[in-house]
Amino acid sequence: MAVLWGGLVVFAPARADSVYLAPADYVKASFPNPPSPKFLWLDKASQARVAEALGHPYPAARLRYWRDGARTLWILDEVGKEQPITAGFLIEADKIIDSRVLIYRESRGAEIRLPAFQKQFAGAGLNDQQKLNVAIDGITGATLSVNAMQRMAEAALILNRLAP
Amino acid sequence: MNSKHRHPGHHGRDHLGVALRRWHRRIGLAGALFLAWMAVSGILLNHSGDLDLGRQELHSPWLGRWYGLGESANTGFHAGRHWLAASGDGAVLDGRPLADWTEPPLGMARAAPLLAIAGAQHVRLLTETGELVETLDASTLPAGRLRRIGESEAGFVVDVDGKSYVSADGESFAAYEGAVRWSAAEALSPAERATLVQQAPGVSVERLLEDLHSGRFFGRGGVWVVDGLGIALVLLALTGFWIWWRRPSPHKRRP
Repeated sequence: MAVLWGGLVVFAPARADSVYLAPADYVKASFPNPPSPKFLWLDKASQARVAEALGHPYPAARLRYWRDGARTLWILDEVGKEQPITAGFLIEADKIIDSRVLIYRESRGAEIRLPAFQKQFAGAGLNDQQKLNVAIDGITGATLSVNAMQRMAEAALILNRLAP
Repeated sequence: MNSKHRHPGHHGRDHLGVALRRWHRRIGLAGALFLAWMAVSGILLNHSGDLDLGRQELHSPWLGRWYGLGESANTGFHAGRHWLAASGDGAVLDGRPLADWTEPPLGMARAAPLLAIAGAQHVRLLTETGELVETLDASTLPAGRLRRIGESEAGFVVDVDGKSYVSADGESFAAYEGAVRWSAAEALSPAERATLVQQAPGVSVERLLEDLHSGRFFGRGGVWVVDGLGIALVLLALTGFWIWWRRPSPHKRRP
């Protein structure tokens, strides 16, 4: 079920950060009664699975997420070209039901935040090869940001499967 | 029609054409090498992501001095047997670069089994063997400006806008009013300083290409030179267009 949001735009003065939705606000908006965060501890094998999705090592041993029944929420950071992009993914029944660019720090490519691009992830899951089972159309001039978003979507789905 | 009967203004246009052709050649010859360099560097920068030029670093003493990267800190932070110091845009922990850390460190605190390293925007939690546990940011730290970090009996403490918050494991924070040993910069030992010099950061290939492409590598004067090249290219285009437009038409009558 798609979750409908109003637009909240907050501009942060630090660097070129564009805060489209504060992570805490995304958590509150995703759950009727926002739960406390849980912590997923990753062993080496789990880190390797996440690293494969992201295309680079993932050394963090702990990752916080939010769960309410079968629904989980993941907030991830991934570098587009030079700066990290913070994105949120709401997952239920092993499928993305909502995705959002929360904070964008690059100088170009912010078009990935637009609903027309984000709606491509709705209903996306993993195929037998543990890859995203939908084809995502890119945005001219935002290839690196698009790729980062895809990697995070894949990683979020894998983390959802790893979470107890 | 011989030259005596040619329109008086025709001589002027001939002189202008000759002059433009001469300057077109001069500008073209003088700018050929610059043009070639701008084209090559521009193409490389266009594909810097594919070539991963942003992650490839050049380490050279003279390059480090040129970019002001060779200066090492004399002070750092100590927590237990660990030491932390700023290095270039990042930091070095126990003699090893702190991966993906791009802010000056504010301090370090030990809350066994964790080590907490604070910057203005992040607190990184590591095990005492240096393995990353989690990096806390604005969404997971108490709201406000992080000023310093310290140790207490209850865990590590962060000072956010003058208020203290304690955490034993970084999973949650609580207001704290107990005694805190705040982390403060101290002189590095000679061995630590020597290690820091060896860990001086390099310059990415992408950064060097950008600075050479724009002229910034040579300071403001270099930027002006590149600007001049741009103007020269415009003149090249205009003179070239003029030469093409004024070329003899095969359909014109000849005397």
